[in-house]
Amino acid sequence: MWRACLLTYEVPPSVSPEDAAKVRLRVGMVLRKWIQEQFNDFDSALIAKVRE
Amino acid sequence: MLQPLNTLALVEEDRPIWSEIASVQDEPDANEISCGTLNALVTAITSVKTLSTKHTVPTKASMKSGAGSSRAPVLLLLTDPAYEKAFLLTYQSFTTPFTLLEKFIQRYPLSSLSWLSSSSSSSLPLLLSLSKFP
Repeated sequence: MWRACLLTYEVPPSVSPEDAAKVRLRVGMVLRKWIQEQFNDFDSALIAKVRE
Repeated sequence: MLQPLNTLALVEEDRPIWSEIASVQDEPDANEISCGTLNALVTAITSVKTLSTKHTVPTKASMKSGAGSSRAPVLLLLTDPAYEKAFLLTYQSFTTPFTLLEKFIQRYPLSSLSWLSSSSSSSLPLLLSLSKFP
């Protein structure tokens, strides 16, 4: 089960560290846009999840 | 035999996002999307194909000297605001905010996990024993 959880977040080896950094940047940007423009979507549970 | 619709949705949502991607070059372009799975839509909105390194800016040294000949490559972020806006306005018709956040977390690549997931790692028995905790 633990291994299955790890595999969920495991990036394929074909993705280079540079590309992984770019994806991290993009995810951060979309999250920021989501929070800035649609903050009504975020209830207390979702805010707690973001803080995690 | 057809499966109930809610069962199909659960299966699709539970699939890890990186399991559908072989490389970042295979990621869909947001301009071409008309439909797709939740994983594909999340991948498209966070696609790195919109990043370019072709553009350059003058370096600090060249600006000080006034020569202006030395230039450094810069990441130019070209997002698709129309797709992002459409996605964020309509995603609640096919998923929940909590599931979407889970997908973003899955999408966020944690390269530091690679040593944990390698089968040759000596820490694997420890991880397996940890997994037995309630």
